[in-house]
Amino acid sequence: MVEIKSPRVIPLFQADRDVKKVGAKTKNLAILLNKNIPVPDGFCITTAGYQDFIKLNNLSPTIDMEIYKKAAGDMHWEEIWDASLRIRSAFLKSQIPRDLEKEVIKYIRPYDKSTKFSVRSSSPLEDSKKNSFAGIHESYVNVQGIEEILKSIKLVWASLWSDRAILYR
Amino acid sequence: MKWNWISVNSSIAVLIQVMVEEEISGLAFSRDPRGKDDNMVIEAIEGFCSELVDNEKEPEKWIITRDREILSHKRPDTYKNTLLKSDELKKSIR
Repeated sequence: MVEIKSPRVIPLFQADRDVKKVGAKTKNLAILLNKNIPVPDGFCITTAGYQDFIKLNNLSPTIDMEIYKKAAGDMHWEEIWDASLRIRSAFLKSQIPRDLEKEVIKYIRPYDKSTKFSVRSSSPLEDSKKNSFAGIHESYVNVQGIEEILKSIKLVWASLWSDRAILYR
Repeated sequence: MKWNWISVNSSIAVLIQVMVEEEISGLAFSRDPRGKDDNMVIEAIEGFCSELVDNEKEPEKWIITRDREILSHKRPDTYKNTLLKSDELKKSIR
């Protein structure tokens, strides 16, 4: 049987459905776009893309060791800050899955080299009716060129484990 | 035995969009974030929105009722002209 892999990269106009895959920010902007409200063109790397990255680089043990070695209440903010930095540098040293990288390049290539992009976090939990996670995870603006875009993607992924994000949980 | 990593329960998506050159940018709150009442709030500045969300520039600010009446309108002294005319503002609220 052929396994149908869920997509890792989705154009914005198709991302108006599964909030667990695309996150709240993406889903809401996709809904606006499809109601003909002007929204800057874009695409989304799904949570499955993040999971691929974690698996390929075997990052779960690193994250668990840094974050869950102590009960949250027993950690000083300095320790949390250090743990976040170590996770961030582990993410930056890690490799984006080749297929995913190719997909991203495919979406970026049609644009002129001077085009600037925003690379934004889109949490499946953000801005629910109960919680507002506004501004907890990172976003990067005026990102130019494929190398910078790929680096910013890793930094947004790492911001899932930023000190602010951990303290908020 | 397979170890269950706690961190695999957390996930995040990434949205990549083309940047728009902004002349005027702003924020609209469909409900007043101070949570006092049902009014809408619009804040606008000349230039980049990041200067607004990072509190670097004082915005022009409107508070609008759900019946589209402008309840208050404050303009910083540095702006000679309003960024949004009130009839345009009302038209754009759907």
